[in-house]
Amino acid sequence: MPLQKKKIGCYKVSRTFKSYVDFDAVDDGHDAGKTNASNGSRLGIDDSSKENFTSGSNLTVDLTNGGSKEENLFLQPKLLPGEVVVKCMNNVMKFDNMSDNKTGISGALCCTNFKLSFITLDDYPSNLRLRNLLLQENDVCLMNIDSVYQVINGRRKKLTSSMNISGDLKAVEIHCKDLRIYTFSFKFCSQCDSKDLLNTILYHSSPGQVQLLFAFDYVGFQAVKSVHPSSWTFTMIQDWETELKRCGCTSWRVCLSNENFNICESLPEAFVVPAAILGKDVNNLAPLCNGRRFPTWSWGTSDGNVLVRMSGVFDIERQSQILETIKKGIPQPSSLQLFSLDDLCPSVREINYSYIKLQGICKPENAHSYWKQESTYLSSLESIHWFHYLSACLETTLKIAKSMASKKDSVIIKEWEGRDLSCVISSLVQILLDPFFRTQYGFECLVQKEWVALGHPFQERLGQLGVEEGCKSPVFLLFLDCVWQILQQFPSSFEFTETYLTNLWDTVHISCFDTFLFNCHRERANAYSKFCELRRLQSAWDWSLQFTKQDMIFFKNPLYILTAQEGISHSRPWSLACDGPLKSHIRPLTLAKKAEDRESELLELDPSVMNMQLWRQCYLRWIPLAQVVGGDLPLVYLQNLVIWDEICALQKLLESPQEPVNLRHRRVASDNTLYRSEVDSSGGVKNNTRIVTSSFPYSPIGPFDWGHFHRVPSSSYLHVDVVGVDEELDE
Amino acid sequence: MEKSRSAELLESNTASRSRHASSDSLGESESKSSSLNSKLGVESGGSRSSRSKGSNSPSKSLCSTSSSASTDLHLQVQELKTKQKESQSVHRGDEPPLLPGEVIPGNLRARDVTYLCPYIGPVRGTLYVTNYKLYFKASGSERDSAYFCDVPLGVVSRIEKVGGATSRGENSYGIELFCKDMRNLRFAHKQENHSRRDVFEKLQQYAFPVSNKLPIFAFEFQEKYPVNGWTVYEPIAEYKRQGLPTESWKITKINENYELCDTYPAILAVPAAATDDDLRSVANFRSRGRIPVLSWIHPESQATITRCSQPQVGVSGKRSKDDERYIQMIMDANAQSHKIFIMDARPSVNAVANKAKGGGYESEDAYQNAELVFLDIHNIHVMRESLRKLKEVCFPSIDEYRWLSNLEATHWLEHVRCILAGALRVADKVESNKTSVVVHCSDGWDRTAQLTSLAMLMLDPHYRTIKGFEVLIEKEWISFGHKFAQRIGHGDDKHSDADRSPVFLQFIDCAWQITQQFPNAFEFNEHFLITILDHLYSCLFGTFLYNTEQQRVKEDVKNKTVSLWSFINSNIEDFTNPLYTTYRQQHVLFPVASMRRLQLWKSYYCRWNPRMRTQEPILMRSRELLALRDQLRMRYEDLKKEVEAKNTRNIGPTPRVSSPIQV
Repeated sequence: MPLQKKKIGCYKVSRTFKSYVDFDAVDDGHDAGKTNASNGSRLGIDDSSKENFTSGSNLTVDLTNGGSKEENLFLQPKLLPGEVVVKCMNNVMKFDNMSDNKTGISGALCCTNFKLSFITLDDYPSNLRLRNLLLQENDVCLMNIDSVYQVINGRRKKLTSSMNISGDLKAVEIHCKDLRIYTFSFKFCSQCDSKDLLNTILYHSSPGQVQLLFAFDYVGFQAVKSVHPSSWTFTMIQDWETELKRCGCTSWRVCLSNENFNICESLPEAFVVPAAILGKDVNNLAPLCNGRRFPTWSWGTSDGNVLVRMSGVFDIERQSQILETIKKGIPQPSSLQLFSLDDLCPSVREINYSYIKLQGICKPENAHSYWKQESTYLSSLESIHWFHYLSACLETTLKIAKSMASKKDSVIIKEWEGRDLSCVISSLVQILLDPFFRTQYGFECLVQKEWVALGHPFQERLGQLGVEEGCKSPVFLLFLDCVWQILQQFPSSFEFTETYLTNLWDTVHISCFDTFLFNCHRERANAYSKFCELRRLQSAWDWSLQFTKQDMIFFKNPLYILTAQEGISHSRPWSLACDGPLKSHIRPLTLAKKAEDRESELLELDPSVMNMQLWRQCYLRWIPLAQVVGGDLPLVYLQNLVIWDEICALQKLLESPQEPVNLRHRRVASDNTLYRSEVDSSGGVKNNTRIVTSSFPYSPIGPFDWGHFHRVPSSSYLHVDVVGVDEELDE
Repeated sequence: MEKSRSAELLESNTASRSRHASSDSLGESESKSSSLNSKLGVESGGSRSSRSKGSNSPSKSLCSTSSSASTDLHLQVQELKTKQKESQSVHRGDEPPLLPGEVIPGNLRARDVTYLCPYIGPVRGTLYVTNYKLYFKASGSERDSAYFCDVPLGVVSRIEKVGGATSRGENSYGIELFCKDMRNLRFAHKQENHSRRDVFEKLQQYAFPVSNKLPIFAFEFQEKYPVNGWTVYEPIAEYKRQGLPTESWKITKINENYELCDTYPAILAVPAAATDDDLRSVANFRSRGRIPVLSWIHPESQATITRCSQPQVGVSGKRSKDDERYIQMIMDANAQSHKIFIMDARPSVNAVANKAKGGGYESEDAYQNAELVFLDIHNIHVMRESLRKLKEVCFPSIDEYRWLSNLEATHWLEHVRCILAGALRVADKVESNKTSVVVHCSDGWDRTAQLTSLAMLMLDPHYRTIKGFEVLIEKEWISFGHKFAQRIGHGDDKHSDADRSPVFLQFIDCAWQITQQFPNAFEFNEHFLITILDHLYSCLFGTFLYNTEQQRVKEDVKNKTVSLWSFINSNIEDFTNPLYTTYRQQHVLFPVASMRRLQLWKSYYCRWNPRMRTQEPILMRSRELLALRDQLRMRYEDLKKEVEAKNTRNIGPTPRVSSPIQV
C-alpha cells in the first residue's frame, strides 16, 4: 500500500534525533561504548537540525560539560510523595511510534520505585487529552511493564532479571500490559550503565513480594486522605447490611463466622448467608466446598429471589445438603436454579491463551507488521476465540438474568474455584438486572463487592508481582470487555463511558492503589498489619488522585440523561453540576431500588458472536495507523457533551420559575468544566495542534506527525459548535 | 410548523402510499421483525416508547424503520407519522396498496399460498402480482396476520419453479425468487389450486418487462411530487460552482450531439488550451472516445481530477502526440505542480493484458512528467463473484461461529478497502501535493467512477450534503455513462449476464464506510443510502435507467418518468442526519482504509435477518439526545413567551427587558 507507506514516511525529520540517525548512517561501525563526550561533540558538530537547536544544545552542553554526571539538571522526572529515583541515564533515544526506528527524540530514562520515566526537552504536540496526574505521557508504571526485549537485527530476545545482558542495545522494546510499546536505544550510553538500568527495570518490575510495590511507599495527598472512602469495601458488616437492605432481602443475614479468616481464606470476614441458618452450620458445611468457600449471597430482590455464588463441592453426594441450606433463604425453594460455569464459560487458561493472541493482533511492533495483518485480520480475530468467549459469558449472563427476571427464579452460580468466572457472571447479571450498577458509583460498588471483597485473585491473574506462574489470566479485562459490549448495545443505559472502563483497566496496572494488588482480603489484612502500621493504602476509586475534575468529565456519558430522564423524571435532573464524579464515592448507598418490575429493567442484550465488536479504544488506541483523524465517535461524543450541557441548562431554567433569560448570555454548568478545562490544559501549550482521533481522549504515544491529515483541534471544534448553538437560540 | 403541515397534507394524499411502497423492502423487513417481536416478545430491552407504541398495521412497521429512518423521537416527525398511519388505514383489508399507475394485471390473486420465511417459518396468505410489485399478505386467521411482504419486481433477478407434479411433502411445490438485494423468497403453492402457473407467468412478464417488450414501470408511474428532482443536476451550474470557466479550463459543447463520444454527456470541461481538433484527435486514441475531462478542480490550488478511458496503446505500443500533449495541457493548467499522476485503477497485470485487446496504459517514457500508478482494483467479474459469496454468507442464515472468516473469504471488505485506499491516494495527491490526477481503468465507467466520486466526496464538503450527493451521482455516474442498465440488468431476464456487476453498490458501500468514520460530516443518513440502493433496482424511478445520457435523451426519461430525487427531496427530513454539523476545519476527510476500521454494512447486507439489529446504536441515541434538546428548547421558548406576555400585562406598556444572568 504505497499510500500507507507514505503516511508512515511522513514524520517530521527535523528532531534532535535525526542527527543521530545521520550520524549512524555515516559511521556505522561506531562503537556504542565510546565516551559520552565524544558523542556529544559529534552531536554538536551535526547541526543539520536547526529547528531543534534549543533542545539539542541543552543536551550538548550537558554532555560536553559533564559527561560523567549522573543526572541532568533539566531532565528530572516528576516524583510523587514517597517516590525515589533508583537509576537515571542520559542520552537515551526514544524512537517514534511506527517509525521503523528511523526517527525519534532523545532524553533521559529514569527508573524510580514507581515508574519508568522518559524525560525529554523536545517539545512536541501531544494529543493526549486525558492526563493522568500520576503518570506523564512517557511514563510507564513498573507494574505495567509486561516484558522487555532486546532487538538485534529485527530479532527479539526477551530479557529477564536473572539474565546476563550481552550484545548491543541499539534497540530495546518495553512492552506494556496496556499494549503500548516503547522502543529505546542506548546506543549513546555506556554499556555498563545501560545494563544497570535494564537490570533495575527488570528487577523492579517483578518485585516478587507485594510489600515492595509502590503502594506501600506512596504517601498520597493529605487533602484527599480525609475523604478516603471507607464505607463500602464490603469487608465490613455494615456494607453488606446496607446492600441487603437496598435489595430488600429480608431472609438473609450477615454472617461473622469467618472472623480472622478461620473458615475461609478467600472470603471476607463478613459475608451473607440465609438468615435461618446458624453459624455452626456454616462451620460444618464450609469444609465440603473447594477452598472452604461457603456459598455466599451476592444480590437479590425484595421478591426473595437471590443470586448466590458457590465453589465446587468435593463430595458431590453432599452437594444437596448445601443446597438445602441455601434453600432456607428462598421463599420458593423449587425455583432454585444451578448454573455450572465450568461448563458454560471459557476457562481461565483459555482466556489467557486467547488474550495473548489478541495482543499479537493489537500490538504490531511496526507498520510493516500492521499492514501484513490486514488481509487476515478478520479470520485471526475469529481464530483467537476472544469474541466467542465474550459471547459465551454474555449468553450465560442473559440466561441467568432472564430466569431471575421473568421466571422469578433464584440462581446459584457454581464454579470450581468460585473466584474467577463467578465474578464475571455474577457482576454481569447484576448489571443487566439492576440499574444501580449502571451508575459509576454503583459499578464501583459492584467491582468492590464481587471482585475485590469476594476474592478474585487479582495478584495472580494480572501478574502484579511479575513472577511467571502460569496462573495469569485477564479475567477482569474479559469482564470489562463484556460490560463494554453491553454499553455498545445500550449506549444510554450507563452513567459512565467506555473511557471510564478503559481507564479502570489502566488503573489495575498502577501500583499506587491497594484495590487490585491482592488475591483476597486476608492477604490485604495481613499486609496491612505487617507493613502499614497505622497507614491505609490508597483506594483506586479515588479518581481525584489520578485526574483533575475537568478530565473526569470524560467518564460521564451524556446519553445517560435519556435514561435518567425516564427514571428520575422531574425530581432531580441528572446533571454535571450536582453529581460531580468527585462526590460519588462518598455518597451513601441510598439509591433506592426502583419498581418491582424487574423485567422492564432487564437489558436484553444480543449475546451472539456476530454482534461482538472489538473494543477499539482499549486495544487499538496506541496504533496511529488505526485512528480516524478528525472524526469517528469521539467527535459525536464531544458533540453530545455540548448538547447535554445545554439540556442541563435548559432544565435548570425550566425548573426554576425565574425570569427567562436570553440564552446568548447564559453561563452554564459546563463553563466550569468543559470549556475551561480546554483552556486550562492547553492554554499554555500549543493550543491548536491537538486533534481528535478515534482514540480520544487517549492518543498514540507521540511524537507522531499526523502529516497531511486535516486537523480538527478539539478545542476549536467545541468552540465553533457552542457559538453555533447560541446563534441558533437567538432565532 | 408550516412545513410539517404541508407534509401532512402530502401524507394524506396518495404520496404516502408511494412512500410506503417505495421503501417496500424495508417495510418488509420491519414487518418481519415487528411481527417477530410481538410474537416472541423480543422487543429490545431499552425500547423507546415511540417504537412500542405502534399498532400492528403494516404502515406502522414502516414508521419504525429504526435502523435507518430518521429519528422517531423528533416531535414533528412523530406527528407526521401518526397522520400517515391514519391515511394508511384507508386501505385496510388484504388488498395491496397501489401506486398511481399500478394495476393488478388479470386481477391475479393466488390464495392459500405459503411464504416460506427463513426466519419465522411458513406463513399462509394471499399473493398478488401487480405491474410493479409482488405483494403477499398473511391471511386474517393466521398467527402472523399482520405480516406482509412487498417486493418490487425490479429487484428480482431470477424466478424458478420449485418441485413438480410429483413433488411430495409440505411446501415442496412452488416458486422461488432470487433477488438482487441480498435475499431470496420462496412461496409454496397448493398443487390442487393450480395457482402457480399464472403467478409464474405474470412474474416472468412484469419482472422482466424489457425481455417481454413491455414498458418499465417507471414509465407508468404517475406520482406527482412537489419537488422536481430532474433539476437537481445542471452540468453548467455545477461547473460554475467549481469555479469554471477559469483561465485554464473551459466548458465545451463539442459533444452536444454525442458525436465525439456517445457515452459521455453533452457538456464537458476540458483544458482551455485544447482545440476541438485536439479533442477529436485524443478521442481517437482513447478507448471509446472517452477523453480525459474534468471531474473536479481544487478551488485553491487548481489541481484537478480528470477521468478518461485507457489509451489504445496495443501490443505495438502505439503513441499519440496529441494525447501526450493533451495530458501535458492538463498538467500545465495547474501551476502548482510540475508533475501529474496517472492513476490506473487496475492491477498492473490486467493493464498489461489489455494491450492484447488494443488497450493498455501510458508509458512514462511517452508521457513526460507523468507518474503512472496502478491501484490494484479488480474488475467487475471479480466483484460480482465476491458479492455472490457475500450473499451466501449473509442469507438466509449466518454461521455465527465462522462469521468473520467466512466474511473474509468473500474478500468483499478487502475490495472496499482497496477502492477506498485508491480514492484516498487520488484525494491525497490533489489535496496534499497539489498535483493533478488523471484517473482511468479500461473503459472509464466503473472503477474510474468509483475513484473520482469517492475522492470528490473526501475533498469537497458540498458532495456530503443531500443535494450534493445527488449531484455527485448524477454527474460522475449517470451522465458519464456508468452502464446502469447493463450492470443492474433492469427488466432483463438474463440473470447470468457477465455484464452485471455491483459496482455502484460498492461505491455506496464505500461512501457508507466514510460516513461511519465521520458520523457528523454528512447531511444524509444511512436510510438515504439504502433508499438509493433500493431504487437502483426497483425501476420505480427513471434515475438509474439506461446506460448513457444519449439513450436517456432519446427515451425522454426526464419527461416520462419521475426522478428518485423528486421523492427524496420531497421527504427530505427522513433522509437527514441530525448529527450533521458544518464545522469549519473538517474540509477534507481522509478515512482510514484499514480492516481495523472497516465494517460490513450489516444494516444493508443483513437487513432481512431480524437478528442483525443491535437495539441501541450510539448514533440513534445521539439523535434522541438532540430531539430532547429541541423539545426543551421549544418548552423554554413557550415559557419565555408566557412570562413575557404576563409581564406585558402586569407592567403595562413598558415591557421590562429581561436581564441576562450575570456571572
